[in-house]
Amino acid sequence: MKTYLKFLLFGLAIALFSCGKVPTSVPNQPISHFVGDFENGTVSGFRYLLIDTTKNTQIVNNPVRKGKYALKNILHPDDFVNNGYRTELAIYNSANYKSEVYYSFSFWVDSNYLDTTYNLVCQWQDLPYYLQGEDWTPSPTLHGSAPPISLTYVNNTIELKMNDNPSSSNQTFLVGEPLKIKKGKWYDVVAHIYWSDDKTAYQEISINGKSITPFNGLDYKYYHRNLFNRAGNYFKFGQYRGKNKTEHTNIIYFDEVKIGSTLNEVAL
Amino acid sequence: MRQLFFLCLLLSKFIHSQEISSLNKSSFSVDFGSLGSRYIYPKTDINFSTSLIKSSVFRVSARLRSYGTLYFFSKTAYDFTPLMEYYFTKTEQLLYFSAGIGMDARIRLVHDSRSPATSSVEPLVSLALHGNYKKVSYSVPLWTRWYSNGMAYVILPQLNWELNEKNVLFVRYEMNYLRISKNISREWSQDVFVGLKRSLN
Repeated sequence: MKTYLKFLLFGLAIALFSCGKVPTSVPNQPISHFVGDFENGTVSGFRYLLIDTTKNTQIVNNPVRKGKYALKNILHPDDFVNNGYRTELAIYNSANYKSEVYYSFSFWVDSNYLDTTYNLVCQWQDLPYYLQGEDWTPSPTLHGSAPPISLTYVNNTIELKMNDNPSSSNQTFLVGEPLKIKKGKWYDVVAHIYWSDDKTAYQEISINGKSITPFNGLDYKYYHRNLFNRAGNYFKFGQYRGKNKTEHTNIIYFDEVKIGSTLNEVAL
Repeated sequence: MRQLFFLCLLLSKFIHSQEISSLNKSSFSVDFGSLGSRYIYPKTDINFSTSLIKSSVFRVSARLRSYGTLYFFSKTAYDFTPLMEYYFTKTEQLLYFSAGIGMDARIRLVHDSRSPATSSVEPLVSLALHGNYKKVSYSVPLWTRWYSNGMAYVILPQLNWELNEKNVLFVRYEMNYLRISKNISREWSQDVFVGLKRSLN
């Protein structure tokens, strides 16, 4: 075989072996099934978006939704982390493109909670499309927005908020009706979500067994795009106020945080 | 569309003009893009192109794309795309063709446990239409890239406006079609770039 042919074949072999995968997300990749019930007396297993676990979290035995322990989540006026006032716990690999996922958690707003402005008790935050070269810190920052979907505690109600504009932080819209929330009482949230960047996406969310997504004539699935790209989202819960600084230290308790592929998997 | 293509081909046979000056020149270009299909995200390209041998119809080029920046230096991601092309003519025409081979190296530098991105190199084949008329020229390359689990096509039509002997202003639209073979997943995306090309000789 002539030398140049050998070189050509060698080059082709190198090219074929070095090939990566198509830079687009594979649909319906398995999620991380998760149980965070704090029964081991710690906040292990979560990713932290807070100043310090010893300052912002405590494991308590009262109030407790189930078992022996729950999480006390404390947001102080100066807890500014990653461009916002927050104390959040996150679970990655929990909202993949074209996957159907169930989430559940219970929350209790402390009787001494004082503010009436918005505070996200959970959100499904978008991710940069890493496969296509994106990351969190483009320069200049041209892409910044409210999360595609969140549950917001505001003025003694819970609102399901969605955002359709990846380049805007103030164009969120309300889905369904706000639900009145009493302080000092457990509320059980169950969210059933199909993640997609097109109109096949849906969200079906109930609190204490009552749907907060509107009836569509058939069921309570609210069909609306919930991914800005195919990188998927990830789940966070706790307290998040964006740039809105509070004057008070506020406390919300959480328990029984679960993620799974079926309703049974996340049931209390 | 087919009739228009053949009309251009026919017309091009009757327009005898000078050699394509850009074929013998080396050039350097920069361009900026941010208007993605989903949201605004900055990207920049630096491209160097030169003839392989003096007065030949072979050209080589190399493009470095930086992601997440309008200032060319990225800490997160680059694409490096060297390409060798053969031009099927030496004279300026309304329509002519080129074909080339190269590679597309994706360099991903993000260290984030949420990121599935990895660096890799893929072979690339380019087929392109070109044309010149007075101060205006265009090119419509179609790049095909092979991956271990599928293919990608990108069409990159570019319109050039000759400002003077040295400088050319251009606008380029890019449409990507990515296809994973096994589970038949497809994705379209698009970008728009504006740039300036300068001849170096």
